[in-house]
Amino acid sequence: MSGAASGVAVEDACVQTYLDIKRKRAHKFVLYHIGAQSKQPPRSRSWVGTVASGAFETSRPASFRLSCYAGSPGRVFSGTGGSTRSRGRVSGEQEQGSRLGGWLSFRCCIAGAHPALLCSPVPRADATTMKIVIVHKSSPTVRATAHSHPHSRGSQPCKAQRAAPTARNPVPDAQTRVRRRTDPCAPATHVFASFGARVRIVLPLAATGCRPTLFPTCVELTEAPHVGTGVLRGVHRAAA
Amino acid sequence: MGQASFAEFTAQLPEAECRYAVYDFSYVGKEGVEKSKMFFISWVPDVAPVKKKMLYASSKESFRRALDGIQLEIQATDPSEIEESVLRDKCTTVGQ
Repeated sequence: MSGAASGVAVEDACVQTYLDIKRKRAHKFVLYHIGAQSKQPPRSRSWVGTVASGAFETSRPASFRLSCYAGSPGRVFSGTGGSTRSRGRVSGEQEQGSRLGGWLSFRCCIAGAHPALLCSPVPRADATTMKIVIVHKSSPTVRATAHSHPHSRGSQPCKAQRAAPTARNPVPDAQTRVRRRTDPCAPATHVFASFGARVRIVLPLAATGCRPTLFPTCVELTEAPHVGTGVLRGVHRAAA
Repeated sequence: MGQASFAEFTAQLPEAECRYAVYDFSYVGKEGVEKSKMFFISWVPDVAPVKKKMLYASSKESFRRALDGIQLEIQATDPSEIEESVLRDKCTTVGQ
């Protein structure tokens, strides 16, 4: 279960094959993919098993996950959680300076939503209010909260904005588009978070029973200017 | 040398799906000595589903950590980013 920290369990076979290639030069290359289980037969002599995705694919009814596709692969915000809370961590690439941060832009989509939640007009307002709490490592206090409710401004010092569609936004596939239309909320929230910051997502009780997925719309990495404001000073990369 | 297997490797990468790959890349160094480096390649094509892209991006680091001894890494979204010349450049710029 190495690598379980980010929700991905690596099957022993994956590592074993890697060691084969490394030590014995048994193969020239290995391909891996993420899946619940590998149904794909070997396609070449070097094809190898799977990276079981573990927590990512669990379908516990009241769990949700969030992950952030940060413009380029590797700059990632991710977390998994159960019940109505989820904690994540903003992690940067190792090569990045420790003071980098990013604008995390979330969009809350209810993936396996309870039909009642989508149909009933009553819980909608509640269900769409999602609190994002950024806790910077340098201080245990809550530094920013943001509500993803369409009419909520979010509390200072974090500016909550509607995310403007930008070229950096991943193009939503058809499935996402449909979800956005049926999704009662789909508000976008901007939160500035430095790498190393811990992020806690709190969903209202009304959302219990569904599986909301936070869809990031964009993350823009920003550099030093934000450090200069003092908001992020002293924040360092997450130590695992 | 190595070309056949490299072509074989790139041919195995699906067009619209994400993959991780490890490639044992051998090349001829400055002194004419054959060397080899372990490449970790994350293949996340632009046309892949957004959810998959997110999953692969967020899982990459932890997976890579599970593979001890990776020397170089390539993140590719396009076939042009996985070419033998690219890998060779990486090898030579990183140093001997």
